[in-house]
Amino acid sequence: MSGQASGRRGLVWLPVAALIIAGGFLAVAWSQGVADGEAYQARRAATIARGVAWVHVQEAMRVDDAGEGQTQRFVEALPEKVPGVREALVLKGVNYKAHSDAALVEQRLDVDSLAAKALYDDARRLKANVDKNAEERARNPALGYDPYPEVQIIPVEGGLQALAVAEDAGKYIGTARITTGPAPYRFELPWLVLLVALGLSALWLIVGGRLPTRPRIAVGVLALAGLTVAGSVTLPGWRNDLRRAQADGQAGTLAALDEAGLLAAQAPPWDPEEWADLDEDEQQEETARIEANALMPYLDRGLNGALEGRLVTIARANEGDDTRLEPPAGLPAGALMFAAEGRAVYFSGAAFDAAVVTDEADVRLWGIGFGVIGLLILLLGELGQLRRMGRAAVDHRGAYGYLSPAIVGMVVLVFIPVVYGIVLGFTQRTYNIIEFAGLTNYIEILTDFDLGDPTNFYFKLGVTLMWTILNVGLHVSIGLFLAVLLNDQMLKARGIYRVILIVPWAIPNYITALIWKGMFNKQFGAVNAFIEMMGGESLSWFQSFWPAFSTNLITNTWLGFPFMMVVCLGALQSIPSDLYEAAWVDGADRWQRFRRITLPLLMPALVPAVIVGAVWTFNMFNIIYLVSGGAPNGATDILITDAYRWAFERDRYGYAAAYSTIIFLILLGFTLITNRITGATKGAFE
Amino acid sequence: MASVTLTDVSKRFGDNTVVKNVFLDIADGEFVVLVGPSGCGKSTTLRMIAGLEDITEGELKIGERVVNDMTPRDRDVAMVFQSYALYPHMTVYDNISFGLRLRKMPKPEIDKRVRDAAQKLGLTELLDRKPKAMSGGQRQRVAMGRAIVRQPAVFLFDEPLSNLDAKLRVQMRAEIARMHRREGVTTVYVTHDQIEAMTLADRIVVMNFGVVQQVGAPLELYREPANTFVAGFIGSPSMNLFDVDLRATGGEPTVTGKGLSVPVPERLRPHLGDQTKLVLGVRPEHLSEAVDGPHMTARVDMLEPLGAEVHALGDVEGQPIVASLEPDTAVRVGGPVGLRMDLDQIHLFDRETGLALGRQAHRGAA
Repeated sequence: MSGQASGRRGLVWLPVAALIIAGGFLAVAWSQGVADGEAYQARRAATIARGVAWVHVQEAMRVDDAGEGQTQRFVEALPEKVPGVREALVLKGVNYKAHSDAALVEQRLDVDSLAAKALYDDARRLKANVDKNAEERARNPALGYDPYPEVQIIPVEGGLQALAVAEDAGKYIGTARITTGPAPYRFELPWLVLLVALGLSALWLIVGGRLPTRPRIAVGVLALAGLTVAGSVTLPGWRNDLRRAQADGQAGTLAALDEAGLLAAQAPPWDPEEWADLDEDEQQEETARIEANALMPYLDRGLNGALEGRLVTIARANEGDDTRLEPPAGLPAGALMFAAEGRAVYFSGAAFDAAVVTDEADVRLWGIGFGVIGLLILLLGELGQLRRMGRAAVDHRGAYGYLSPAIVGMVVLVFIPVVYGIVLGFTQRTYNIIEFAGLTNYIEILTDFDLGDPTNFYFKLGVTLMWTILNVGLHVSIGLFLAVLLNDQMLKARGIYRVILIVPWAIPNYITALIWKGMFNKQFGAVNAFIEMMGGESLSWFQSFWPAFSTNLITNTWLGFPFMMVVCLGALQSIPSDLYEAAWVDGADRWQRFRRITLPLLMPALVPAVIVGAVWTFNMFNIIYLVSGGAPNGATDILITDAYRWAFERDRYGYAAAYSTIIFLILLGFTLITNRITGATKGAFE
Repeated sequence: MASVTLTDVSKRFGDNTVVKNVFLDIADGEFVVLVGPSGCGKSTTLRMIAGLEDITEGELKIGERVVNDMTPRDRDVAMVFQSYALYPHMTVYDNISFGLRLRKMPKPEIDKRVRDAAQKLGLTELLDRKPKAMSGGQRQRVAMGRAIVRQPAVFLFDEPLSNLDAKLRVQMRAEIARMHRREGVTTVYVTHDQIEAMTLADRIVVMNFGVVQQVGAPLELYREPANTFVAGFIGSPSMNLFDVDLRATGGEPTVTGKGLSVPVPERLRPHLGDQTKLVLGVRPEHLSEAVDGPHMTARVDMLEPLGAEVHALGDVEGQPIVASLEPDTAVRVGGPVGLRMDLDQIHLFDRETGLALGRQAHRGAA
C-alpha cells in the first residue's frame, strides 16, 4: 500500500470521529429532552394534585355549598387551563367529590372496574401512609421529611398520573388525582455542533491531506476537543425551553386557581423580596396570621422529590418553642406561591431547579464521554490500529459470527451488570433519591478501623481470609489424600468409593448447608446428640464465634473436598506410571516419589483449581448465610454476606456496591499475584 | 559391576504364565539382548531383574546377592525406558542427577559425574533444557545419561530405540555399543529388532511364549538355530522352511518334499533318528541359481533388487520361498528359476518338536 493512498484513507478518521461526537450530542439532547419532559411533567402533576388536595381542604373546612362548587369549578378548569392535563378528579370514600368530567361528580366509583379498583386501593394506601407519617413525626419530631410517600406518581399511557392525599390536621379528607398527557418538552437539534462537525469534516477532507501526519493528528485532536467543548457549552440552551414550560405550567395552575376564584384578590405577601422588606413585627404578624389558618400540614410537605414518591421538605416550620411559621429560607426564584381566601401555600421549584442543574452536569459528562471516544477513534485510526482491528474482524468474520451469541450473552449477563455495580458504588441513596457520591462509600469503608464492630470491613476481611485459607487448605489436603488413595490400582471397588466421595459435591450446596445447620442444632441436632452419646457436653454452636465459625468450616469442607479430589485424581491419572518406575529405579522411596514426582506434576492442574477454589470460597455466600447466618451478631459473616446485608438489610445499595467492588479488586489482585508467582516458580522448580 | 543369574525364574499373572522357568547366567560385563516377538515375556523378564515386577518363582541373583525381595532402589540397577520416562518438570541436569541427589551424594561429586556423562553423550549444551524442548534422540541420550551417572552394577534397556526414526536408531545403536565398551557394565537389553540384537549383543536370548528358545552368540544363533522358531526369527530375510520326509534312496538318506528332494549331507547323518517327518531349513543366501541339476524350481512373484543382491520371492509348488540371487540375474517376475542349495548350510528339524536334529531343548524349556 503506497503512503499516498494510506494517507488519503487516513483522512476518514476525523470526519468519522466528529460525526460520532455530533451524533452523541444529538442523542443526549434527545434523551435529556425526553427525560426532562417527564421529570417536569411529574412535578407539575404532583404540584397540581397537591393544589387540588389543598383546595379540597378549603372546602371541607368551609362547610358551605359554595365551597363544593369551587372545587368542582377548579377541577373542571384544569384540563383546559393547564397544558398537558388530561383529567383531574377528587375522590372521597368511594365517591367522586369533583371530576373534570362534570357528569361524574358525586357518582359512585365503579369498584368492579379494574382501573377504579386501582384508584381506590392507591387512595387507601396513601391515606395509610399519611397516618404512618404522622406516627413517625410524633415519635421523632426532628424528622425532616415524610418517610412514607404521600404522593404517588405513576406513568400511564402518554403521560403521568399523580395522586395526593388531602388531610386536615391529620384528618383524611380525600384524594386528588391528576392525569397528564404527553410531555410538553421541545426537542431542538444541536445545530451548532452538527454544523461545526460537518464543516470541520469537509475542511479536513480538502486540506487535511496537505499536512504531515503528526501535525495533522495534533490539529485533529484540537479540532475534536473544540467541538466537544462547543457542544457541551451550547447544549443547555434548549433547556431554557424547559424552564419556559415550567413557567407555563405554573402560570397555568395559577390561572386554573384564579378561574376557580380561589386566588385571593390581594397580592401574595411572601414574595421573598417583599418578605425581606417587612420588619420583624410585620413578619411576626404575618406568620401568626398564617399559623392561625392552620396551614402547617401543607407547608410541611413541599413538593420536592415528589417524583420519587417521597417528600423532602423545603418549606417547613421552625421547630423552636414558639412554633412560629417561617417562610422557607431564601425561597428560590421560580417558586410557585399563591394565596387564597386568606391562606397561603408555597410550591417550591427549588428541587426542580437543582435537578436541572444536575442534569446539565450529567449532560456535559456525556458530551465529554463522546469527545473522548471521538479522540480515541481519531488517534487509533490515524495510527492504523483501527484499520488493523477492522481488517481482523473482516478476515475472521465467520469466527466473529459464531462468537456473536456468546459475546452478546456475556455483555448482557456479565459486563453490563458489572459496570452497573461499579457505577452504583459511586452513588448514595437517601430515601430513594440516588445521587452521585464520588468516593464517599470507599472512604467510609476503608477508613473505619473500629475492629470491635463485627460489620467493620477489616474485621470482615480478616474473617474472610481465615475462612478462605482454612477451607482451601482442608479441601486440597483432604482431596489430595483421597485422590492418592483412590488412584491405587490395587484398591478394590475404586469406582464405588469414588462415587460416594463425589456425592457431597453433587448435592446442591444449599441443601447440604441446611442439613448441616440442622445437625448443629443445639437441642435436636445430630452433632450434639453424638457428643452426648460420647459422654461430652452439648454445645450451643451458634452462640460464640469459634463454634459458629467451625460449623461453617465443617460444612464447606464437606462440600469442597470432592472438587479438589476430582482435580487431583484426573491429574494423577495423567502422570505416566513409568515416571514412578524410573524414580523407583533411581532410588526414590514412596515419599520421595510423591514429593519429587507426584506433587510437581500435579501443580499445573492444582494451581488453577486452588485459585478457583479460593475465589469460590472467598465468595461462598450460601454456606455462611444458611449455616451460621453470621451468628453470633454478624461476627461470622464474610465480606460477601455482609455486602448482601448492606444492600438488602441495611438498605445501602451504593455502599454495598462499593463493598462488592472492593471484594472484586481483592480477588483480582489475588489472581494476578498467584498467576505470577506460580508462573515464576514453574521455571525454578526443583 | 556384577553378574546376573536367573535360576528357574517364572512369572505368573493369575493363571497366566508369562515367563516360564528361565535359567540365565549373565557374566560380569556381558551385553545380553533379550529378543523375541511381542508378548514373549522379554520385557517382563527385564522388569523382574529391575525389581518392578515380583518374581513368582525361582531365584534372581545380582552379583552374589539374592535380590528377589529387594526393591528397585536397593538393587543397584539403572534402567532406560522405551518412553525414556524423563521427569518433565526437571531440566536435563536435574533429570540426570536425580538418582545421585536421592542418594545424598556430595554436590561437587554429582556435578562432576553429571558433566562427565553429559560430555560423553554430547548433552553439555542442553543441561538447562527441559525434556519437552528436546528431540527424540536427545531425550534418549538424557535417559542414558541418567543411567550412566549412577554407575550401577547392571544396565537395563527396555526397547530404548523403538521410538526413534531409522537413521537415529542406527546412530544410537552405535552410541549404546560405544557406551558399553567404555563402561563395561553388565547390560541386559530388550528389543524385538533382531538387527539390534545381532549388532549389540555378546549373547542373545531368544524368547517365545515366555520360554527361552536359545541362548548364544549372534553368529551361533544364525548358524546353528536350535529350533524352527529361532531359525525363522534370526536372519533376514528369514530362513525358508519346507516340510520334508526322510527316505532312504539307494542306501543314501534323502529328504523329499513337494517339488524338492536332496540327500542328507554327511555332517547331519549321525543325528538322524527314527523321525521321518522333518523340516528342511535353508537360508535365502544359501540358495543359488542353478543352470543344470537344480534341487527345485520356483516360480517368481516379485523381485527386490537391493544392489548387492536381488531377493526373489516366489513359491515352490505353493510353499513360499525367498532366494538371494546375484544382482545381474536374468530371472524375471512370473518366470521359473532353478535353485540349488548349499548342502553344507542346510538345517534339519524334527517336525514334531521343532528342535534341530541332534539338539536338546534349552534348559528350562517345557
